[in-house]
Amino acid sequence: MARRPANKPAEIAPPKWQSVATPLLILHLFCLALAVLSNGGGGVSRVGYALRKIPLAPAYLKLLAMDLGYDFELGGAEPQNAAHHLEVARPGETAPVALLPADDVRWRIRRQRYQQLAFHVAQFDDVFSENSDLQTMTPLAIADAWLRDLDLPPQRYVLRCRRVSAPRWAAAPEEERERSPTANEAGAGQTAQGDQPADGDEAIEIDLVWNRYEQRYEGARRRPAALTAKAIGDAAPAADAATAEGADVGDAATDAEEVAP
Amino acid sequence: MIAAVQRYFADLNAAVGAAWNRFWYAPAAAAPLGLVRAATGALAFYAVASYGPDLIHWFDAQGMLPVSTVRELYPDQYSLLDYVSGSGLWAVFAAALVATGALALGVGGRIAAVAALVLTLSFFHRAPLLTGEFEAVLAFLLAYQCLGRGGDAFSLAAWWRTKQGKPPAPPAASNRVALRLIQVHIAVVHAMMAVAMFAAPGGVWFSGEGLWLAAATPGASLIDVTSWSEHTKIIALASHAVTAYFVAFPWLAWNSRVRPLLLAVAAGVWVVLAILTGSPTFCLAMAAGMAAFTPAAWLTSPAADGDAS
Repeated sequence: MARRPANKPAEIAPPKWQSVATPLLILHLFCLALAVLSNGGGGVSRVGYALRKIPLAPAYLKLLAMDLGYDFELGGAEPQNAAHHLEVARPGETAPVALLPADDVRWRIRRQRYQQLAFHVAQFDDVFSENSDLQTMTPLAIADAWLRDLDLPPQRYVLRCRRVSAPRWAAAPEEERERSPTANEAGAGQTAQGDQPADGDEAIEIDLVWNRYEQRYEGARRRPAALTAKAIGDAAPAADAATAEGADVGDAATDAEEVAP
Repeated sequence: MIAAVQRYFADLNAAVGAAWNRFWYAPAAAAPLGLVRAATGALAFYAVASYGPDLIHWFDAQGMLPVSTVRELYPDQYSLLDYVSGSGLWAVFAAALVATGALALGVGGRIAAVAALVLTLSFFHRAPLLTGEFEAVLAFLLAYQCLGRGGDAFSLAAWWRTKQGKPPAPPAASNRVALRLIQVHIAVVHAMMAVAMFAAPGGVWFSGEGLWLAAATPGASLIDVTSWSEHTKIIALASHAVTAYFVAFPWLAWNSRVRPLLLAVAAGVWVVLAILTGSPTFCLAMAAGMAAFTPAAWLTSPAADGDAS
């Protein structure tokens, strides 16, 4: 029996501009791979670091807004997955004077853009934790314009960036987990409390002060309570030692005064 | 032996070259690209229009996002909006609406496509702090529209051509290039989103909690999901199905036999995700990109066929 010839796809005559298009296509696909490798997974690839030194490639990707890893998260339990918003309040008050996005912003994409803005305030707060100028640059610019739009009297305020996370599931019942030889549901965030909303990290707070000479708000980031408590804890023995030393110095000075005519 | 090796590499070279030419340069009908063009133009029009109510709040010299602040954070991005304020912002805004509207209607060909790309990206580059997944997908869809002849189908130009009794525009290799780039990029997005699911801290997609976390984030879902927290097994099954879809798509989308089924599953998945994540614009942008996988035979008469596969 004669063998049936395998179906061979027809040869395609490429267009005349193929000799220009092919190298450009290869370059573009290489740049796309560079973007994915150097940005994906938090941008920690050693190969990615090296590839970003290739001249013009990062600039080309940024120009086309393609300098991304495309590893979009639909949902997660990390603080960055929470819903972010900004609020401004008077010092000492918990209830906010205004929210951003405001409740009357019904257009979903507008709300999401304001939430993205609040997310970046939180992200830059973390990224620029060693540089207070950069840390407060964005929230101060937002607060300046926002408070002016709200027509609030220029005085002290507190700007807060809050995140509200999704409630977590409780861990699966013991008898179900026993069926799996490798079950380990002591994962981050899963508690026995059931679906309690987790507010994530404490709010980022920036104290705003009106500079009447420059007609703008200035501000400083309040230190997180945990760091302040730690600082107080570390400072307490040092303060005790300084007090004791001061007493000795004071006694010596008194003695000196008594000695001097 | 050496001759056999040489013959092997010569055959391999010829086979790879022929496959490359078929993949990138086989003439393709404009219909799938026209469908992507119309959807992309409409989404770009919507994206630009949504900046309108907050244009001055954000981008004015006294706005929340002054140029100096944004460029300190993002020094290597450029935007036409960096150079205007006040009424200039509205002029650029109006120009962007005209360009994206022309792209959606299929008027102006590649000139409209390039103008829509430049003007829309100007809004994204002016304030990257406001952009998310939707803008990221829209950006590459707009870029690839500049390469093909998407205005030859599903457009006012095509309608006028038909009214004049002229035959539809013939298939073109440039359409194939644009479609393939969109297909490759969409496949990359699916693959990387699958990677993100596997790498998610706490294994939330392995436990099946991922979809719940997406839907239960305050203000996210378009429907009330608070009563769903007790039905963990059903939600976990749905989460695993979504993960399986993202894993399978980049591999199965290239198989012409399986593709119609995959596109049907994709339609369901993206509708569910649009409702639960509360990001309908991102899901619509992904759906617009996946229209590039639609076989041209589904959209055209046989005479104009140049299959998307």
